Amino acid sequence: MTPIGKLYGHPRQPQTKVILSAAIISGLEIDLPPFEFGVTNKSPEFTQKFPLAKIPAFEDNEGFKLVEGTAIARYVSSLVPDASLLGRNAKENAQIDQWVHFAETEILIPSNNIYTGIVMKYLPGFSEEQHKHYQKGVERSLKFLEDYLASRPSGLLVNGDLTLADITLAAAVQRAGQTVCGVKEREQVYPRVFAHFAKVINDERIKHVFGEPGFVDEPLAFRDE
Amino acid sequence: MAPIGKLYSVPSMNQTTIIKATAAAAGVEFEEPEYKHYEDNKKPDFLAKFPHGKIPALECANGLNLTEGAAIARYIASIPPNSGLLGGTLEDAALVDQYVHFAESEIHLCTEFIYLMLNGYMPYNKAIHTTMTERQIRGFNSLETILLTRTYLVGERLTLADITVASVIFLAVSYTLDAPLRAKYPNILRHLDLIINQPKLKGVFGQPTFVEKAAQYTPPAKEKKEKEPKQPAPAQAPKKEKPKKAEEDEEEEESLVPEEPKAKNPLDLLPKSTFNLEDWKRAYSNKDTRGPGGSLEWFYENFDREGFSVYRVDFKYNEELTLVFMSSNQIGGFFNRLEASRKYLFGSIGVLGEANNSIIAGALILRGQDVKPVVEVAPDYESYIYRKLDLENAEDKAFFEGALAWDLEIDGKKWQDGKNVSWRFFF
Repeated sequence: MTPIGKLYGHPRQPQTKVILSAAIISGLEIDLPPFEFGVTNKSPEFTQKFPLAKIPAFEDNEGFKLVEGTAIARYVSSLVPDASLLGRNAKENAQIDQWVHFAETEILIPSNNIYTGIVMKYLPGFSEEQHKHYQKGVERSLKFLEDYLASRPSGLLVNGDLTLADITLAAAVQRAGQTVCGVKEREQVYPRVFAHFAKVINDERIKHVFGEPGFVDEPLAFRDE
Repeated sequence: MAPIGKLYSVPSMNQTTIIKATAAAAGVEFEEPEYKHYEDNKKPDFLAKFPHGKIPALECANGLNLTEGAAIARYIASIPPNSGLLGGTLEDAALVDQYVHFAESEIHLCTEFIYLMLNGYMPYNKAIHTTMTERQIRGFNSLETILLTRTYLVGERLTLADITVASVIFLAVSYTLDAPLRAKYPNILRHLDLIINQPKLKGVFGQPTFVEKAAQYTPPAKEKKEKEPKQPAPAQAPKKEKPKKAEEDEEEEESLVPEEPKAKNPLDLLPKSTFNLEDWKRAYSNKDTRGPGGSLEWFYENFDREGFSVYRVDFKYNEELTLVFMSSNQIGGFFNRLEASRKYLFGSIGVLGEANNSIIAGALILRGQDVKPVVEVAPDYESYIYRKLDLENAEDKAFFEGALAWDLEIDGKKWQDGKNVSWRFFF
């Protein structure tokens, strides 16, 4: 099969995982050229095509270019409507949109800020107050999600089949499990959320994309250094 | 077309503007029921529909209950078959998505974060302020490059991409995208002007306010009282900084912010007052207005009538007012133009009545005894009548309380849609 284009991204970046998963479920191939952070995205070839110089960035075989992870994921998902990644009607489409946006803003971004602040130590000004603020936001959102999933017979977000919403949420929840949710939280406080995560990443087709969860035993603590 | 449903939101949110503009462009209507944030979103019937308790929230007649502003805008844009707002091809649709997401994460996120810090909703941190400023400038630079060769962002007509970008820029130019920066982005400004003046969108945006200098951090006043005991608070509640940290930030600020050449504002030369306007704004936004433990109670306990005064404000030309949300935008515009007096002013002004039969009225709490030096910074201040209120007078007091509690009623006209000076961007 011919790849539909090139995705510049990093295999461990949540947005990249979502795009690759969407492609696989749709039965499409995407090239993931080698990418070195700080080198590839500063090269003139890259910045000429993608002036903002951020990843993920996508270019198809006709030169059509796209940035912003969720936009690329949605586009890839739209290429094969039968795969139903975007739902089967306008309402499901809107609900998928809603969950994608929620997953990104309410779970991924705050968890990622903690991850970047504590694990990568690359967030200028990251403080204990910031940490508490993000953690509180994630906890509020996970609780809401836990309650919502109780009402879902399929255990999935929108209908009975895997959609882009489920994939996006799994990538976001993975980050939460690497930062804010330890063993106790995953098993006792948000069991349905993490059951959803397990359901998505154990799908044979995309298991290898998500890789090892890399979860923490205890929620990360802020340390003044 | 019949209204598609009910939108619960507040006018000051960026997402609300985008949703309204999208609806106007698509020819879609929805109702805007009375909604009071921090109250209505805690009620069982709201939470039954929207358990997460956040706004905007759209309750559709067809049974769909939708949250997340961007998702709501997109859904509305998709309703009419040929609106064109989402592009005509899969590729154009993807580009619309791309710009919407870009506008949110690379531009609006920064404006909002800076706003939260400068107004005490999140602890101020100079490193983060700098990071956000730089990130946003990087976004502006890219946007300028993109708009060099484009009239509309996608294809040759208005899409959701243009509406979203124009909306976040409309806010940014009043706050972070200041005069020196704007000089570098003629195409961004050209695009803004084009979009907000589209015939279908007239009245949604109002006139932009262009800030001279990007909003700066003002350290809390040194005579601030003892820390208040922590209250149960929604996620956006401000956290008081540890006193030590606040001092450090103040020292940094004094050395880094250049001296302003112009003369000191006479309002700063008034004798010190025990009433702190920033503390008031926090009390107002954290507490219920009426009732025991409420912000009005706090106000009467702390108000200094020598150092501050309370005024009633009425719009002079109420017969010109048409749709409620447009009048609400007018208030927003007035507040934007009062920006320079933010340190001296709190306002709660609303639209009372209904479409084509409404008035704009409200209350101001201001530094000093004379309203003119505080409000004359706004070029249109003479469009309003100001009358000092005497809180010992029962009628004046009832008016003041009604304006703050958003339940004011004048001549049978009820409060519909209001704005508070300290809440311009969100609830």
